[in-house]
Amino acid sequence: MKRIAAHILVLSTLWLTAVCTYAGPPPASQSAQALYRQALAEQAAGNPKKAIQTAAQILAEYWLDETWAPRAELLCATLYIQLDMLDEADVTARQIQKLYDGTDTAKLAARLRLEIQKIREKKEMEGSTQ
Amino acid sequence: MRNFLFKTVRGRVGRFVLLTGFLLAGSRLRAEEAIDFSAFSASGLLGAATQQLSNDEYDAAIPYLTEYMNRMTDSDDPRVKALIQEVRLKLAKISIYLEDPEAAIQYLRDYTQTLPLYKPREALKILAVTLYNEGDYEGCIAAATNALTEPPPQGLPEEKKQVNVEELTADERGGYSVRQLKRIESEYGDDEPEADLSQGFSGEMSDPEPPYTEEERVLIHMTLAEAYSAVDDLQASLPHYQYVMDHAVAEDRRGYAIMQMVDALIRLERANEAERLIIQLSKTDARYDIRVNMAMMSAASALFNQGEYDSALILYRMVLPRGLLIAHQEQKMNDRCRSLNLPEIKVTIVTNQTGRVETMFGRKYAEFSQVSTPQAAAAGQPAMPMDLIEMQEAIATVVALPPYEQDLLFRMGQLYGEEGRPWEAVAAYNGVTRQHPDGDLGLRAFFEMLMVLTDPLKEYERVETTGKRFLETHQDGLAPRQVAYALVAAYQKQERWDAIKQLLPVIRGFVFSDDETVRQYEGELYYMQGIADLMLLNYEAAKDGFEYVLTSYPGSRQQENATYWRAMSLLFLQQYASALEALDDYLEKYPRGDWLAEATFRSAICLFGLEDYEQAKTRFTRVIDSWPDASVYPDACSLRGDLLASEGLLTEAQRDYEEAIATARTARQATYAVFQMTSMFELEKRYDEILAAVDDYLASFGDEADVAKAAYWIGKIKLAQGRVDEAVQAYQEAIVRYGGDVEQDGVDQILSELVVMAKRKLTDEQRNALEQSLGRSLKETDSLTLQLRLRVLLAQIDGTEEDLGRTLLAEVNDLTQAPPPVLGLICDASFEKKDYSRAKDLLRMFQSRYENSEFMRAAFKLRAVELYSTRQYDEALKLIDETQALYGIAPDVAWAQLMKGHILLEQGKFDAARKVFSDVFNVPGWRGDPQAEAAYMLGQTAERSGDLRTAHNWYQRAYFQYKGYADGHWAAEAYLASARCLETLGYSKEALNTYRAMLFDKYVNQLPQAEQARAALGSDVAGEIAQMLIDGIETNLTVTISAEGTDK
Repeated sequence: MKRIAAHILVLSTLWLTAVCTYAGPPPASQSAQALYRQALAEQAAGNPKKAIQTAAQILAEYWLDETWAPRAELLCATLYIQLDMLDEADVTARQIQKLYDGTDTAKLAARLRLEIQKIREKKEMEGSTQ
Repeated sequence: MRNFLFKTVRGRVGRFVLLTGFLLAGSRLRAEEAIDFSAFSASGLLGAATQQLSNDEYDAAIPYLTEYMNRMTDSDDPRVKALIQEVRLKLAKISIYLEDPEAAIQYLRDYTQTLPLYKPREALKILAVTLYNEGDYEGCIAAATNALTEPPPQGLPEEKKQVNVEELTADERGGYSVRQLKRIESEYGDDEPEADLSQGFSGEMSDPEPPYTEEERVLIHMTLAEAYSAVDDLQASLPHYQYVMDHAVAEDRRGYAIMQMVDALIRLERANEAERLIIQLSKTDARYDIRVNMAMMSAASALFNQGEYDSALILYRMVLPRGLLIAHQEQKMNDRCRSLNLPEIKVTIVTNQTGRVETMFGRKYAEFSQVSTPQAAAAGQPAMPMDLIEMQEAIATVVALPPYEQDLLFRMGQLYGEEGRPWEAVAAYNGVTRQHPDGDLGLRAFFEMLMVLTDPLKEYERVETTGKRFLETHQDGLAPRQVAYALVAAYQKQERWDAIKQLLPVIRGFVFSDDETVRQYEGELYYMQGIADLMLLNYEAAKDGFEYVLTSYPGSRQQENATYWRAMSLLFLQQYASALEALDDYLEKYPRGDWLAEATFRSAICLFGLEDYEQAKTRFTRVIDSWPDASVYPDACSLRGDLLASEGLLTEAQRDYEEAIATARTARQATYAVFQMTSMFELEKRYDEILAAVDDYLASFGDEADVAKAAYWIGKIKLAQGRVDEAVQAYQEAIVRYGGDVEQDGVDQILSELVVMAKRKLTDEQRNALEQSLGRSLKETDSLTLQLRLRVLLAQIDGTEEDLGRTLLAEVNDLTQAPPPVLGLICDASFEKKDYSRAKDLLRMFQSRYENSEFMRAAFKLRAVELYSTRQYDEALKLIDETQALYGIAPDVAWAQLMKGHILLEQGKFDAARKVFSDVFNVPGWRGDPQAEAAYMLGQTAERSGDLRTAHNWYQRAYFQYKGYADGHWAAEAYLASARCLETLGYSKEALNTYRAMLFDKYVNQLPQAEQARAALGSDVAGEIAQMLIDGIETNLTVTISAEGTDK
């Protein structure tokens, strides 16, 4: 019996180099790393606002980068604290906890949240004594 | 889902569907040929059918099988009955293969309702899937549910008889040889569907139907879950998705089930469970399945709409770009190719000739299909396994998708924005814009980015710079409107109303569009122009602006607001009748509007202004009765109280005031009611009640209370009770208690009151005692602020404040310690000495610390005069706008309007100057000196623009009507200017008469300008006039010229 199975299609050299298009290859991590270093440098230079924009750029371009995206997230949370944007810092840390559940990144985010809480309490105390 | 089911089912029953098209073309022709069935025995029919099946001529087998069933339907022979059932099941499968699901369903239903039932599980499974594919979800649910009970075969003979093909008669063998039947028997059990489909008929009972394999159970559960989902019974779908998640072997299938379950949970609003599953999903290979990625986007969108932003963000962040999906599939394909010793493939990226990215894979796939023919296979070329085909299909699917990466990033921007990660939102939007700067999504992202930069980031400068740059090159479509809208939002946050107004030419320059969304944004922009005018106190322009919105953008969302604010503009213009009409129009058009209480209240104010007190009271009552929670409720109570008090209904008025105080939302509302009530009590000398009311007020509003006013009343009552010393004492106590606080500007009002009291109410002895007491307080205090206040007070009492001002101008270096009255004195001293060196600092001090101080007006004026005198006209105009925004048409800021006119005149903007000066006459509070100056300046404006006749008329008006103002200064100037115009026009005689009139005018003839008239007339005439004046002779000299200048 002639079996009409799946193997009726013939491999052809034509499709071995099948041509297609898409938005482009995934971005190289090198650039993410370079951006991360740049953000750290900006932070060290006392420019947290510039630094957070650079760190956020990593998330916009390399959010799937398993090495640099989590670092950029944590850096953003830290920079929000530096910018005295505590609500934003807490939201960021909370989302990091969820996004990287079960990882060291999530643990660091949890620690950041505790730190944010302490800063808030300190502020409240200062406010009440003034 | 259909794709998923299809792939699964065809693995069992119809794998060749892809090829159906070309396979059927020939066989259907044969099926139409007439067949003489009478030539066939029953077994011959089956034999012929088997022959057709073995040749893959499936539809050609149908007539034989149908004829067999028709012919044998009445047979009681168990073997025949079993054979009929087998034929029925075969026909069902063939029907599916031939894409005739309706027939298949009928055969399967007949099969499952007829005995013997050898293969109920298989039949129910196929029935469930087929019903699902046909959209008969209820039927599918019944069949799948039944299938999952795994019903055993029914109606079988008691003994299983092993068929020995060698013992069969030729008829029983159905045309097959013994050898053929043995071969068929050996192949039976091959679960390849095509083998099953082309299989012949045994006519004997087969082995007991085995239980489902796990793969089959997964299929049925999935089918059932999807059917439940299709009928929106999401709760019922969950356990079946769960089964697939727990038992599916293939990662992608498991992932798909997770995704579907996520979707169901989201629709059931069980976001937390969905989120847990999502994280689980991210750890499976299913994340590389394009269907899962598409489903994730869909689920993320649903979560976004539900406000479950965290979960939505996690989902969006998990969606893989197409590049990664293709790379993953390519890797999988190459792994498989290597295992099959096939050449590896390479997916490459190209663009078309125009450089535009396009999907080429589909075309290559078509080429690939064209060569994929049986002939090619027959030619001995290597065959592609089914799993590779599926992988290629997956890549084709991904490539055929429209680009979604930028949508993804845009959505992430939205989520970051919503959740409070503004800088991440900006970066995401910026990423989209950079990729597609002029694409729809890129433009939208640009707008969203500007909005986030405005709020909450307050990056106003960046918004302004980038927004304006964009508007320089974009005037068409939605984007420029949106960007202008973002700019307006940024300006609004900064209260930069003038900047909003400066956008008007840009907005007017937009290319017309009748697109609904564009019109909406445009309507908003023009509406905000009206609001800006309102804030800048350009009430006339505001009214016009709102009217423009109402007439030009009838579909605007701001119709209601524009209607209300147009009416309010009229009210601010004190056009009470028009405002009342407009407010009534609002109330009629918007019986459920947002401004009902306010509009009713304001309409009562209009009636008040129109002196229709009875109607006003009725409307205040309507507010009080209808909107007890409205913000204007306490105001309505207070104002009705005023009306009642004016009617002598003091008890009723008191009740209203007390209600206003009790419900006051702001200290201002309570302050008004309290002190109106105390004024009323004062008429009846109810001093104790006044003191009680003031005490309650102070207790209730604490720091927000108007302490000065309270102290003023306390002092006043004591004074009225003849307790002058106590009154003075109360004031002194308040000053000493609060005077050290530089921001307690209420104390400064007490200072003013005490000064008045000291000058008018105190005896010399009492005043001396007060001065001594204040002097002691001055010595005792270490507070520089209190010291300064006390020094001002003492200077004002003994009339030496000008000296003090000069002293303080030199002495006070640190303005931060100086309370407003001190700053005010320094301003006055600066004016006097024309020393503007501290004008900027003084104004800044008021603006940053004492924004509500009355003394700030002096600082505005000082700074404006400085700017004007140094010809910094643009800066001066800005300051004037600011002054007018703060103080409106208050009498003591008429200078601002006049200075604006002066500047415009200096700049040669005659029309604008003329309008500004003319507007002075529309403000009742600016009667007197300001109008005298305005009349003269209108003459100046006309004269400088060359219209000497009009100039002459204005000068005449200035010296006729306003000679009594400004010590006759403007009248004197006007006489001289008038004479000058007349001479230039050739009216020398009239010019001399004007000089004469000037010397007869007692308001001006002693002023320095009169010397010019005397010089013009000569000493004789001047002396003659002087003598006439001594003799008491009066003249009525007038000079008249016509507009045309014909009658001198």
